[in-house]
Amino acid sequence: MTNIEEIRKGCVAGKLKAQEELYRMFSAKLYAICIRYAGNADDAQDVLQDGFIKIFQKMHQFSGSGSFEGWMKRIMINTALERYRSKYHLHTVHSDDNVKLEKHDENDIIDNISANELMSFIQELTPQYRLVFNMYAIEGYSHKEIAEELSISEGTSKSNLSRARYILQQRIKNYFSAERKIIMGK
Amino acid sequence: MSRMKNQMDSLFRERLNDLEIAPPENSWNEISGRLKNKRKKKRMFFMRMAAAVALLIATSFILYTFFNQTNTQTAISGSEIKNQKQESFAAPNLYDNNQDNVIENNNYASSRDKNNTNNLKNDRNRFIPADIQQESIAQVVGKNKGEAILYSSDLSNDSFQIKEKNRKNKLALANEPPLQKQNMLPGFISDNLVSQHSLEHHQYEEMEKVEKTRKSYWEFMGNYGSVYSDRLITSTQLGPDEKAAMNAAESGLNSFGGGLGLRYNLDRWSFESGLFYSRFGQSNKQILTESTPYNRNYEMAINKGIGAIAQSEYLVNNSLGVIAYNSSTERVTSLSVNYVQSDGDHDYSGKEQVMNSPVDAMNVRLSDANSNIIQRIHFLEIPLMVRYKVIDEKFIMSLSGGFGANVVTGSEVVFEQQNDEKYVGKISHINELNVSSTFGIGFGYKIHSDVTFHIEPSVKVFLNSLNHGLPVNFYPYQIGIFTGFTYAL
Repeated sequence: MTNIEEIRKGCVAGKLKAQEELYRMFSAKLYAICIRYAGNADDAQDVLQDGFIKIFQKMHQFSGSGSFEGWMKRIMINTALERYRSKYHLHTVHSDDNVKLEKHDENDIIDNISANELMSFIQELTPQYRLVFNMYAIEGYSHKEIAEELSISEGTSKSNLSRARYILQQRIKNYFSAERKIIMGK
Repeated sequence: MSRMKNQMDSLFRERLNDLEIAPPENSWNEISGRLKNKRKKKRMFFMRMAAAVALLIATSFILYTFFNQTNTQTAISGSEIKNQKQESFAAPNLYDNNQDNVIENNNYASSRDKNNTNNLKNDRNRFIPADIQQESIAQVVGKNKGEAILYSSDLSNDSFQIKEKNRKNKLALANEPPLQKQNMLPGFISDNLVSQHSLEHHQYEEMEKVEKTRKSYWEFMGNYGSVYSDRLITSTQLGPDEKAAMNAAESGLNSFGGGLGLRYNLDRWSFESGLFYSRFGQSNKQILTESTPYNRNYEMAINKGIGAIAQSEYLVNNSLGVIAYNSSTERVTSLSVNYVQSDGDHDYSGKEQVMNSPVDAMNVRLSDANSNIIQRIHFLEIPLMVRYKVIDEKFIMSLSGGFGANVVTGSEVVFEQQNDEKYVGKISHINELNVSSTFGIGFGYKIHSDVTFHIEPSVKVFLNSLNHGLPVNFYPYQIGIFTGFTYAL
């Protein structure tokens, strides 16, 4: 059973074997999303499990048009959002709280940064900054959509994004400063 | 600045978007454990549903039996009082034409019934040829409420045979160019990504919408309920007194109905159809002969039992239809009737056993009120109903209305005496296909996202006369309380 369509049909029929096959195919991709949205590995695992249960339950609702993988990612992201909606009170930040990014051109150095490092930087963000940054920068949500999903204002979404970018930028900067020091120390 | 921002976003997106990280080994075990658990719960849910339906059916059956018993008990208690007064009528062999005996009986009945019967007799005589009236007219009239009237007419004579009368939005959205979104996103995010996101996002939104509001979807439904059936009669040939007597004498029946159907929900409106069984009938506690030509042998169809001397056969008809007896079926072997005899100058009301089989001396007398003739008709209905949900939350209230095609799948006439039923025959002169209209108020409660329990009082009225070729037009109606479940497909 290698054909994704066959697997999908098997899942719709509630076959455990098909469900396991789907899990094996996509769990790594989807788990990466979970980690990106969750603050820690335990939360990420919970989101992954809840998300897959939802995927299996709602499988029959997938119309067939559009990307199936994208549809699953969307469910996983929404599962993560639901979890954080209930877990954290997402607070409003005034829109004039924007943070100006420093105008350092770090093109050369950030090219070498690893995905794992970037992931850890994202995980260090506060939940709300993490969600907004993930949704806007990586998933491509608009501020309006983010505002609706997280029940915050568009202004708050924008300021959260600015703040998240600033923190990430600082984090990258510090990371490379430390790297340089290590290199120079050698 | 903008470039800086975009670079930050781009860096994270490019590195992390398609990143794969293997989840912990135990993850799948936990997921599969939960899936199995859910299946168990689902099975348990359906088992509970089945138990609930079984309970519902059992309750309805008990109620139905209880109502029937209540009716019988009332009838028996009535008959006991009568029997105390009418001991002379309990003698088994009354099948003689001894005038004295008849007159004696007549005198008794006359003292009770004269006032009631005179008016009716005069009215009814209008339909009977004068020669027959002079020779022999027997009428039995419902003396008490709850007694029914049946006319007998001679097959050969025909004296009483009176002739007569979902998702398109999503696709549209998917095709919609995501220009606005594109402008809001950093410039170098590819069109493809935005388009892909747009499609997936709308798809998800649509899915959520379907889940939240379930705008259009199918439901499977099952109904079962207790039904009380009765009828309205009209006639241009019978006088108001006769109709009133019929109404007082023929009583409705408690019965049941139910079936399976499909419902298509479109927002607050729904359209439903299916296949529903229902039973209609009435109980007749009194039988009478309208006309007994030639002699005073009031032999009825139903007393043509084994060994009975059937010199002539009579159809027995009442407001519903003609009892077309089945000669191959074991039947009650004797019958007594109440009657009013008039010789033109005098009325002789009385009660007489009209046929007493030499083989089976069972003395069945409808007029004793502990025996009834029950007429039952079985229908299969294909309804076309429209429903509007006034309240569409967890609690649902709806108004429904529509029409139904009712096919008669069978009929039966039984003699009921002390809970013992004897099959007499079928009912003739009834239409095979009948149109009805139904109105109801439905109350539902969502016990699960897909399952709704509902209870619905409803009234069903036949739009055409159920019978034909009889002097009375017969419009059944049913008042029912149906309960059941719907399951969203």
